Amino acid sequence: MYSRMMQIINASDSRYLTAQEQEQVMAYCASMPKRFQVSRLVEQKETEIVNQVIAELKKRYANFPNLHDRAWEKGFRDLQLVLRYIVQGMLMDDLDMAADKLLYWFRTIVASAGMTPRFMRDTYTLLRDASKQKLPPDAYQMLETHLNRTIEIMADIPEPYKPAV
Amino acid sequence: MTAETIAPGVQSASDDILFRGNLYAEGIYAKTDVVKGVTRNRLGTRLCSLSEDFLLGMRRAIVDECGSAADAVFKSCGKRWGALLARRFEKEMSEFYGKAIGEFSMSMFLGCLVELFSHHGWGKLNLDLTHYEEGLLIAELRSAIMADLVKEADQPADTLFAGIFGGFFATLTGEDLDCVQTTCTACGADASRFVIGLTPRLADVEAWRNDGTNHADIIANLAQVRVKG
Repeated sequence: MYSRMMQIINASDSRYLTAQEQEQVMAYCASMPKRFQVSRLVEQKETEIVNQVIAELKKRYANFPNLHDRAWEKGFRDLQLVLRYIVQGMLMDDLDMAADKLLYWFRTIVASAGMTPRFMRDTYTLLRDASKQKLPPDAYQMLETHLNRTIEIMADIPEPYKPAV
Repeated sequence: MTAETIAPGVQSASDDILFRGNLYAEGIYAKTDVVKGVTRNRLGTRLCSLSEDFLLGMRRAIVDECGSAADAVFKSCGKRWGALLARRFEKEMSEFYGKAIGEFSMSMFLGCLVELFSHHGWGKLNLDLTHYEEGLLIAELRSAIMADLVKEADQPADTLFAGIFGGFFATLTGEDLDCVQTTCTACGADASRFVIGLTPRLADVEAWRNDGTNHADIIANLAQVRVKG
């Protein structure tokens, strides 16, 4: 798990940065205002985005609250957490950050709570789609690969012994 | 708790311990003070890395010294280590998440235990709860450290971890639990598997395994074994 900056610094061990590496660092630094702007936008829209996902999940998985304590409240929390780590990954330009810090751990937890791969794929596909709807196109574009990777990681769980969705 | 409204009467469960995040998050979990030469985890426990040559050397030394008793020594060492690991796990979990481990949901407990193994480089753990109601827990360890290092063996190579699982779960539950390895990658299996249960119930598992009984049949046999709990 290394951000682009650390990759460049680590690759330049024992020497000065080349002109090309300096340009890469400058380009990344120049992108920071935009990255922070996207982060602020997601923060402002977080509740709306997550609300939309929960509303759709409620339609598709009506029995879910009968199977889990505070089901939708926890679903809301889960989506908030994942979205925040996705934004961190975008800020650091690191596609592995959310996975290494949160998603693999989180995936084990939801898998053992009886979530199915289909439920997970639906949930995080809805998160991607709600983000696309609620954010300006250029902001969404900066998150898209992170959102897509999240879908693949979170849906990659075995079918549970006792499904609870 | 935040007041974010999802629907009338519904709020984010941001008070839940899961919102604290992953204790073992990469990049945060361990830090080395190179001036002191000390690595600690984020809760202050000192860690050190053990290289392949150290682990193989330790294994060979015990096998050379103890001969046929080596497995019993690995198991015994593992049990002690597992008991200490359980106490540290309990302490660190409650310190980090602000709640006793007994109050964790099973899924949260499992999620953290899997991370404990993977972030320490011991292998990718999967705990199978399918037989939980029958009093058995199955642990599957992929890329298990000892089996990976030993590479080829005619007997399971992860006896140390069988001891660790036994000691770990015995300490957490307060029950007389043991663990026996049923498959090993060093013996050609796709993963190292372990069965955890009451000690008297597992009494014959090693003999079954050594007679060539496979993992699934061992679990089926155990379903028929009853002991006074």
